[in-house]
Amino acid sequence: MSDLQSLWQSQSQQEPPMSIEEIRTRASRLEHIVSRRNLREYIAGAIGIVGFLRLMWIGPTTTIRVGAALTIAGGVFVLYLLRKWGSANPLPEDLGLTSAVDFHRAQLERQRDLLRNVWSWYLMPFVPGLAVTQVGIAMAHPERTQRLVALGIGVCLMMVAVAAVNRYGAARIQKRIDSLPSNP
Amino acid sequence: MNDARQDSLYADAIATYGAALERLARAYEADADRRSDLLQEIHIGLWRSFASFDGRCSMRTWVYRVAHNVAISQVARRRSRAPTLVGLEELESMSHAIDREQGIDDRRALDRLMTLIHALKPFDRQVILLYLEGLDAASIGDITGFSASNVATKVHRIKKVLAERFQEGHV
Repeated sequence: MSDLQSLWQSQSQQEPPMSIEEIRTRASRLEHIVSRRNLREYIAGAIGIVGFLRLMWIGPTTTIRVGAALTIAGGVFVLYLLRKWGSANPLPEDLGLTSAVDFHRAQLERQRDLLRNVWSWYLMPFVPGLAVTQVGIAMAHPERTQRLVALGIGVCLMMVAVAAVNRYGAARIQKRIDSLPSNP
Repeated sequence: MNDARQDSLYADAIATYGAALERLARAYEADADRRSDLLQEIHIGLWRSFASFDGRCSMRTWVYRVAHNVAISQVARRRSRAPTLVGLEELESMSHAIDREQGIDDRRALDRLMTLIHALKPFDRQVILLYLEGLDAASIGDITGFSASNVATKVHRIKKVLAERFQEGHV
């Protein structure tokens, strides 16, 4: 063993060790934080859904009510996917099963895919519902058609912008993936 | 796996590797508060991980994998604010510009070593830490995911850099 290795290993433990009880308490606190974060996501989603729920009940035409129902379905689907993919535990149990490079690469790839495919899993599910609702409103109120078309174009542009920003984020993550050791 | 076994594995791991984990946290975080947070995260991650420990790798490999994976996640989360880090190759080429000192005391040698480690890119940092902990190339490969030849190259560079900067044998 070299002198530096001996010197390095001679550094003693200075932090008092945590008891098992303390570990359990902190671990459950961490799980609580993750649960609260998930709950916040659900509440934010629910707030958005409530408006369409009201429209689904009191909408003046069937088309509008169907559109509202489709939008709600899209919202629930997105919340489900957010829960499934987006709310990863910061300390998964399989930390010891994967080597450092693989673990880091998998984390980055997961983030990249979420951003890259935001169009298909985050935006598209809302499109049928919003489109049908718009058509329903235009059919019920033909005088508003021009305004609705402008609104539709605005929403489309916003979606394109959201997708573009996320694709840019995905490209930046891809650069980090590419910079990982290529021949591990 | 039952709770008692999970607790027992964790206690065994800490008894054997507790000091090494603290050294690892020091090497990843210069700031005392962040270091303490990282160490706590490593302990929690380790305890949780033992729920799925099935003995397919050694306890040592498991402990270091968990610790380095937690640490690298923390470094990655703060990546945008991190200073520019260098790889072993760049460090090797910079070595000649460093003043050499004979017989520096242990405290200063450790401080300089820590400064050097903090400047390294995360994966090179992992290799140098595992080398300093006395692990062989195969074990370092198991933990980091690098091939044996890649580890051997990196360890060779590490030894060269350390020899040039610390006059190995004179610390």
